[in-house]
Amino acid sequence: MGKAMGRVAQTSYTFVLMNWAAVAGLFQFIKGHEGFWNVSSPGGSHRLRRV
Amino acid sequence: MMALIFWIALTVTVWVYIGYPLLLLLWRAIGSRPVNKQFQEPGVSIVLAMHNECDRVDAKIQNCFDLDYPASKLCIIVSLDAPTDGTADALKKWEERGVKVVRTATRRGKAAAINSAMPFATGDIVLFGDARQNLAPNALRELVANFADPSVGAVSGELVLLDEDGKESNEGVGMYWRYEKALRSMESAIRSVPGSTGAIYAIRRELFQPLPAGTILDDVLIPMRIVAGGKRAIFEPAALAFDRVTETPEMEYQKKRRTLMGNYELLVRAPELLVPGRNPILVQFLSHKVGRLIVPWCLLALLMSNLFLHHGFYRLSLFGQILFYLFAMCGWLISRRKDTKSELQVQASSPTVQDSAIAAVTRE
Repeated sequence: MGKAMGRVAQTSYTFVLMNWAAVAGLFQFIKGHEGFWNVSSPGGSHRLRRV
Repeated sequence: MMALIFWIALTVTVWVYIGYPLLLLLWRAIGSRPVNKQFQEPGVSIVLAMHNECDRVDAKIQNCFDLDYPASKLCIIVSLDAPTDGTADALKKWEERGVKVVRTATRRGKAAAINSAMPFATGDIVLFGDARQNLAPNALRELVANFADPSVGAVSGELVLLDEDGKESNEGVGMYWRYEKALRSMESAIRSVPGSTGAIYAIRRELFQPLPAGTILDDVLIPMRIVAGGKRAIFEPAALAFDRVTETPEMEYQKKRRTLMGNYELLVRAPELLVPGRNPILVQFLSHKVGRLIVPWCLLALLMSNLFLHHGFYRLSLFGQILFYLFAMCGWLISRRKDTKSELQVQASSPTVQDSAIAAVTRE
């Protein structure tokens, strides 16, 4: 039960975050994007950049 | 007025995430267009545009040599965009093995790097990829087989996100990505997918048009131009590329923000994609790509308008929305806890279990 609730919570959070990314993306686009290449995530090269 | 805003916002949101997938299901059931796939071995040029990839370049090129495809039919081209970390030096030994390296002195971006590489591509088919992801040995063969069908102009492979145990991720970001792939698979069966996976996609060389400088989403613009030209851009789930799932939704957010920024840029660069008659997959493009840009504003409008509507169904809807955002907040707290844990794990182990898992999968 707890695991299922956790999964629902994570799915809701991911959905909200992905939608917020569209808003942030628009502001970033209006502002002018930061560079030509994909931005490395904070924390080093072990992390993803873009799918 | 508030009721009108509420219903418009609800309709758009439900359409993008539920209605459109249901339409695709129905459409596929009645109007599927199978691809005449036949295994063949035309010449293939692999184009890899890189900036600073010193740590990954050896593994990537070795992965290309390990593909199950005749070496005599393969041409690997690495286009360097003024790297500063020694990537150019790391490539010297590969040049002796026949890898073509295209260098530029000034940094001009990925789109320009791809443009610089294309004149050196000699194969009928061009495979594009990123330095980060490894391809399964049979990936190229599976992609190329689709070009036996003359209606196919571009083929995208499937990116598999592996979790820390080396299995396909099923939670959070992994689930979101699986939903995306299900959509692409249905869109492909009907006609074309509005975009490709940057990690693995191939096109007919003759259909390539130089990219405008600064293009962010080459993996959307290239296939969409091909679709606009009348050919199909399909999804081949048997051609696999492997990557690690992001440890937290926040990292996925960073990537997604850039991708969505690229979608805004795409609409500015190629507004004809919004014109009926100019885009053969207008419904798919509007529902899948443009819809994702509109839904956040609809969610905001839905909540705001619902605050002024309290009777009957609206009361239930407000309760549902508040519950949903409370769950999202819990998800944020869980994610923060995971993030702290993963930071500790990363500090304790390098390379990660996922790196080994990906290497094992791509060797199979």
